[in-house]
Amino acid sequence: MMYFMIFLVTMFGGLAVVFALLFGPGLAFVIDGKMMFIKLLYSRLFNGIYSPPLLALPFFIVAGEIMNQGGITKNLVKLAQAFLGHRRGGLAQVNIASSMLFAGLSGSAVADTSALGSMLIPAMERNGYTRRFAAAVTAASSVIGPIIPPSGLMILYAFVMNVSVAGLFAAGLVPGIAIGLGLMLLTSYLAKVRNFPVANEPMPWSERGKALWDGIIPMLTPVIMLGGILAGIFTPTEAAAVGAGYALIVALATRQMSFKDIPRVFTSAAISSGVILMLVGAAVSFASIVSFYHTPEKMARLVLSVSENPYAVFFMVNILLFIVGMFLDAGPAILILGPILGPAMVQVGIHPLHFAVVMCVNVTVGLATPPMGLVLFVAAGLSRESLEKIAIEMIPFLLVEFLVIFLISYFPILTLSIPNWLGYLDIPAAASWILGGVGG
Amino acid sequence: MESLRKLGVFLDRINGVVEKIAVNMAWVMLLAITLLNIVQVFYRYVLNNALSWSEEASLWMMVWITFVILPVAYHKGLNISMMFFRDMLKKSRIEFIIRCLFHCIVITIAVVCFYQAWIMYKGGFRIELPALEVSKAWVYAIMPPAWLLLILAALGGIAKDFIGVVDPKAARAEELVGEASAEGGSQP
Repeated sequence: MMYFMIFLVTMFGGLAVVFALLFGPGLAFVIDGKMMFIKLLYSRLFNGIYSPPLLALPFFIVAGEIMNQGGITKNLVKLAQAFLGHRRGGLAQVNIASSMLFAGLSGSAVADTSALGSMLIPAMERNGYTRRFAAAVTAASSVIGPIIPPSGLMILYAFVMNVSVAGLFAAGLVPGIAIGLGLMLLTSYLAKVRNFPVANEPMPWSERGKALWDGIIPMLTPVIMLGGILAGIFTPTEAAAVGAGYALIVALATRQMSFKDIPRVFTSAAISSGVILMLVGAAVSFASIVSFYHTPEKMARLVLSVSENPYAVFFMVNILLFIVGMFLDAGPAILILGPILGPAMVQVGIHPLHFAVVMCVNVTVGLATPPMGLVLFVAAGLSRESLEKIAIEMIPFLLVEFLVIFLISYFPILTLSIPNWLGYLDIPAAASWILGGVGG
Repeated sequence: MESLRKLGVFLDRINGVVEKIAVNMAWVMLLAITLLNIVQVFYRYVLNNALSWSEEASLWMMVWITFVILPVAYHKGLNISMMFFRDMLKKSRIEFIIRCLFHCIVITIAVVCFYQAWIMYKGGFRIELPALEVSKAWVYAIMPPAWLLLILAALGGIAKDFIGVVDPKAARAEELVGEASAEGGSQP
């Protein structure tokens, strides 16, 4: 486990995760006198990048970048406002509903916070909400981004752990919608208690129809992508490319973007893709060393020595993931801990797809928790409110998200029924899972 | 100290030029593979005639995008890192020492990877991409220069951060100017 200690020390010391992932095993090999394995480390790094399933990732990033253009975000907010703006606490509800709609387009919590927050935080403030509440709602609801499919985070997990992308997307639907609805219910309650304002008068149905029409064109992007994948028409790579192409055509046709913007949008997407792909390569290399040293087996033995009860194990792992999520970004958390915890949890008796979706949801919620919540940072920056005040305001929202994590952990039916219905699970195993609960 | 500062500025300028070229290469390649994959879907579903070479070409370009961005991401400090504990050191001398140490670690990694990449590149001439019918060495060709450019970016980082080891106050002031002019800087 020396490689893991070196990795942890350098990563916590502030060395970029991508280099810490290479340095830990590399130095451990040198100390152990196993220099010949350094070649293996490098070839795994290259093979981790030169991998057909990963091709989907840059296209998803391109689609997300295009969808982040201001006009498309505005259309989504208008759509949510047309149907929810007249309720008490309407703008807060619009914020959450927009995050749910935006989740299907960008798949990124940070993009969601910056795109929706820059528009809705000032609007909520003008409407009489406190700045800290506006920032807290934005941050809390934006974690839905990587949970409702399509999701870059899930592609990463599926690639590293060899589970079905389509199955994982299908499994993410219920938790994503559950978090959104849970946050909306809480907001309704808070709106009554704190007497939040209504945003606007009920819109006539003609205006609602127009908002729906304007919003539906960009909303077709996730429909094309998800529909194509789940119906077996496209591979995830083809779906992502078609989604990116469709988003580009919509953005150009509706003049949300001009041809002059193409270099800027693609440059941003290329940089993000390059950074993530190199991280994936390093993580694949690290994962091969993880199995080389039999770390998952050791981890499983350690976990089972504490308790053999899958409920208790799941509880401990959730706590661990939550703590990790407080400090580490969701992508690296998945790439580093997936190969260690995934096989260990399967040994305990938890279905790979079930654990995959719980892990994705848990580390995503970590994006909105202090001290290292990226989403929290963006919300604080946009609202110019202190991190502590937003974090305190977020507590009830985080409790809702923890409740959803608890529910999806202990009731696999919530996550596995859609993948089972779509045929991504083998029937006997799925049946035992869905009927038998955790460890069934 | 002055010569170190000049060296830092000189390396920064070179890294800036590298960055411009690399970023332009990367976005053009990303646009190309996006279009290529859309065309591929059209050929497969509409013309019923899949392009056999599109996946190989896309993977080739994806590898190139990843490696041309490697030194850029380092130079601009875009790699994901956990700065929580280091931020507590608040740009003290110890923090600058840690930064220099990490730049040295990155240089060590880059040297080892350069060597491995070079071996792969040379071996790549014996492997042919079946659909494109070109040597796989062309896929590998971007890796050795990328690692070399990463060394250059890390050297630039050392030249900057070593000033902080000697005189943390001056380095802090310089970083503030750098942040104000939005030039960013290497973050190991």
